[in-house]
Amino acid sequence: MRRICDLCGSSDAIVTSSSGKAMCEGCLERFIIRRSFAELEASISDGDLVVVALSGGKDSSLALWCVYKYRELSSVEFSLKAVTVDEGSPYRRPAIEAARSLCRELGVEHVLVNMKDYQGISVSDLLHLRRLPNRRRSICTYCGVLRRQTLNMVARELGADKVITGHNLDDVIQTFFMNMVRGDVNALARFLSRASPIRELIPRVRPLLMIREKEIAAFVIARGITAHVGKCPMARGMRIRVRRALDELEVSSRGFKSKTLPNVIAILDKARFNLSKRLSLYICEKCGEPSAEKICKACQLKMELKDLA
Amino acid sequence: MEILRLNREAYLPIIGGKPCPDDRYLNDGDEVRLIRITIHEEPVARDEKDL
Repeated sequence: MRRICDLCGSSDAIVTSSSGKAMCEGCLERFIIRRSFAELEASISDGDLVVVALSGGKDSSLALWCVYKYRELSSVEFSLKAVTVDEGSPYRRPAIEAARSLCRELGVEHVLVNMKDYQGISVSDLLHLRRLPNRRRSICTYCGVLRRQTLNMVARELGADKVITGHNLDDVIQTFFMNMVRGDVNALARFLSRASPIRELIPRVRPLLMIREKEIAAFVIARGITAHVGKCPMARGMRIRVRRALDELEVSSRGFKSKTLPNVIAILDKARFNLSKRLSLYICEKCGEPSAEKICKACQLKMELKDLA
Repeated sequence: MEILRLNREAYLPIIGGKPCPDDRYLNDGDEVRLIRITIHEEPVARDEKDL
């Protein structure tokens, strides 16, 4: 028996919102467009070159779809490119193919780069190591840090004004709690800030900031947006434990995540001035990339790996 | 989902190839697939030291 949409009454609901209301594909599309366009309107200006960080997964694919729609429907005129960083993991093949197909379907220029060309190391090199240099780090640490830096390097080479990422409500709440647990004041001060403290770091825009991961998955599948929906087999670490705890809270207190985000934003807006007194963003002494420390995390990790060799 | 002891935030039910809400009733013959939603690693991927 089909479930009725609680918003428009159609008999084909596809997902339950955080408030417990069932939504059909059309209502979910309006919800996603309303929320993502609000973020894009606040960030994109006429003449900008906007680069979408496209992994080929559901989140970044929907982010590209939203920016594409925004360009179609708004009066803001900007250029659009998508960048995929191939970190060399065997898991990434289907996602890269999905990214390529989506760009072809939308007519968006697709730039595919190898992480190894920029960082001198790939995930498959890491997989061939007998052990990682630091037992407290997982492979996700290396992959995440090096991939993020590569993306910024490529965006800068392309002359991008904004980088769009597919981070969703779940990612953002998880990140906030993780930074709180670590007491990482620098990360908290930079977190959700639209402006970039230095020129070398291209400002990031997160159009899916207010959309739950489950809503994204449901829409991508229902609408048939080309994307790879799968779980990285190598994913592990603190984020997964934090995620599970937050999912439990969402189930026991429906709407926990979407009620928390505005409070997180309000707290950070009030605290950012004080937090920023301790915030310093440097240029890495070794590679010249923006960094929270004098030597960036990517160089620190590469030095650890060099020591091991 | 609760009967299967699965967290409804972590799984998306698919019936007849289309996503559906967690509280939808099933019909005889419905084929249900549960998709585990991807764990997105960025933007934080640092040390494991704190937990």
